[in-house]
Amino acid sequence: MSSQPSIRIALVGNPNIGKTTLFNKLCGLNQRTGNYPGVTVDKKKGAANYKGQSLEIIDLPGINSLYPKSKDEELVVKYLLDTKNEEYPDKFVVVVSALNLKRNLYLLDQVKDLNIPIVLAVNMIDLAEKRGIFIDFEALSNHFNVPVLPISAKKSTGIDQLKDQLLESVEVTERAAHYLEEAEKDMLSRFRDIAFDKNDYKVFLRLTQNLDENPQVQQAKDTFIRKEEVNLRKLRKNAAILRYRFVNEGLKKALTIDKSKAVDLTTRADRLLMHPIWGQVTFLLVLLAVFQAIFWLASFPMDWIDIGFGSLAEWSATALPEGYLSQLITEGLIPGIGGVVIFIPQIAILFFLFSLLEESGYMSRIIFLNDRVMQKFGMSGKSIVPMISGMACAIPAIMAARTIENSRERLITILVTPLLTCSARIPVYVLVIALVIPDDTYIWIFNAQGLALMAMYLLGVLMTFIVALVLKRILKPVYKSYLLLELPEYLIPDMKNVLVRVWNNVKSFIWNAGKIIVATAIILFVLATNGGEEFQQAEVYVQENHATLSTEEQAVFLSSYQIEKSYLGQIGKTIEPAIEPLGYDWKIGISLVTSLAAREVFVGTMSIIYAIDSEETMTIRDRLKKEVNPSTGMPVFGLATSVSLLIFYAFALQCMSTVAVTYKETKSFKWTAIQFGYMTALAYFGALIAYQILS
Amino acid sequence: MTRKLSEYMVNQTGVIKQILDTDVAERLMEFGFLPGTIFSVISRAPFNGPVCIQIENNRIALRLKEAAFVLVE
Repeated sequence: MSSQPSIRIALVGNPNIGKTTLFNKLCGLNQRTGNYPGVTVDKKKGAANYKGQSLEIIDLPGINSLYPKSKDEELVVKYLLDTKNEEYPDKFVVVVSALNLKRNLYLLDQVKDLNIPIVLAVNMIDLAEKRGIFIDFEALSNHFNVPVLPISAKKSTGIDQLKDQLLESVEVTERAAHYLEEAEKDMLSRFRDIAFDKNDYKVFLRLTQNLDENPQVQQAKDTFIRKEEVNLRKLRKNAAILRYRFVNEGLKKALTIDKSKAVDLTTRADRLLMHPIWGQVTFLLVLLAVFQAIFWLASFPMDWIDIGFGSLAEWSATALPEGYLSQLITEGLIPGIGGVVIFIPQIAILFFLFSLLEESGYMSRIIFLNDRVMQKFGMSGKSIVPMISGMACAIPAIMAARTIENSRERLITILVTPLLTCSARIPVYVLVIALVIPDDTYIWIFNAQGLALMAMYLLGVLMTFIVALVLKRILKPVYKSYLLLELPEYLIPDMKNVLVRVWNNVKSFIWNAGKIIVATAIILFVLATNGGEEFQQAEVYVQENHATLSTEEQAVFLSSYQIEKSYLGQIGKTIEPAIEPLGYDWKIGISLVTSLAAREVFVGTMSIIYAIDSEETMTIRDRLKKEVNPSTGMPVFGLATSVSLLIFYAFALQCMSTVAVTYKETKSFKWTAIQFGYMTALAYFGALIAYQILS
Repeated sequence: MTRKLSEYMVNQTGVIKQILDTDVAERLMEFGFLPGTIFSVISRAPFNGPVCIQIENNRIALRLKEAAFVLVE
């Protein structure tokens, strides 16, 4: 261990240049992502040790320029400009791709003018050579006046040299503002009196974009712009042209391309993959494969997990000494943890396939192909990414909406995404569907239960688009929306990147959703096994009032009486009048209440209520089927109640983590409340109508 | 004769002449849509969806609305 303070290094660059590959190469699994609640920038942090010096590495989201157009970019630009921050990095690595030098160097040219210590890493040099792209790194270094290091993050070439460079001190050299014309320079120096900063470029940025200025400065700035008749747009356009001119001069000296070696596989692949008809067909096939993998492939490990936790509970019931604590473990904690673990296969598979699609470059083609359709529903082609991940879990999906530039399209995407069938709904659907449709029912060659599950998915998708359409009508566009997207070259995915991403996502799911689910399971168990006076006197009551029953019958009656009089039972009873029109009794009511934390808790709650209710070990499904309404003598889970329950779970926002992440991403109490409100209303009235028609 | 980029069909090429003065103008320029640059149309999504343009070694997708701001000679 070294006693020196660690060097803080941030990676900056355009999207799709292998920045994350480099980050993974530098710090391996020694990394963490900011958790959903409470952080402002979703920055990935990692640590590494090199030659006795500890390095702290920060991977910033990819940006196109220092003129942010999306939430993501805005966060990064704020971070870069916040030089006074205690945690401001000591050094920056600007990562560019050798395959796309011109556009990537444009960003370097902007960052360079912030006068911060920069090292330039030119990535993908292995691929560049194959394509006949030759770069004179020394000429590049001289032109931009920064240390330049050729690397291939994927092949691990040049990584040590990069680290060596990072241990050395980097000199910051100032240069004249080549992004301004002479007259503009004078104007800017006058503006400096209003918004003072040592750095010319920061003064320029403060003039040409809306950074959070204090009201006084803002007012002075507005007056200045009016008085001097400053054309901000022209300033920005000129700056772009002048910067590209400077970049081109550098490339003239540093870049030679041997055209005979250039094989453009990407263009050839795109002729098929972006074809008006074949492109759509390929996309649908890819989508089908993704869903097959999520549901069919994941079902095997999920079954093992299910069985495993079942036997674990049985084993601990016999192995542990009898007592309240053991009961808490067997009937509260183990099923609670099992309820989280069971989702891991699906989430892992989803993120595995997603990473493959993104790393290979196909994801941008999906955005391109779907933009037109999504536009009709007030969203952007980029909304397709959150929506597909919403099929696994709404939490990462809502965060993925950050890349959508237009605030209205982003808001609509966030508001509708939780309507898509996330994996937490699956156990509820599977359980309830099995109550009304027997296992071996077939419609032609299709399993009827499977068809019903598919119908639930379609219901979710349908409602998503209906609500989006309604929101599109209501919400007035504030900014003009546009799509400007770079379609990267097709590349073979880097397996390490893919696996690291799967690992990070699974980890954060277990941590975030897991906390809530396990906590609920324990609270629930405590509420179900404690109660007021009537609960404590239950044994005496049963012995006195039902003395005629046999001892066994008395025991059964006692446990059902106890659950009714427990705190949990009281809660269920209190809300019973509100949910009776939907066809639910107080036991289902309890499950609805506990599902507010997370939907998947429904199954756990049902099993806890009914396991506590009965001494026999029976699967939860068979227990529910046998449940009879005491006043009518009819099964509680008839067709009407089951359908009503399915509709309720399809539309209700029963997931505290989603509510939290929506609030964090929209920073608006209003929209968080609207999302929760409209979904609850849809759920309640949808279930009400279904029950009243069917019963 | 000046035409708009949005009128170009797949496999057609041209030289960018001017970017009309709009909100997206600077972004287009940052993506490499600069006067004098050669481009070719790689693909057009169905039902008047976005177009995919190749500029040097870059493929960039943009909607027809934005492509109409790019004038070609």
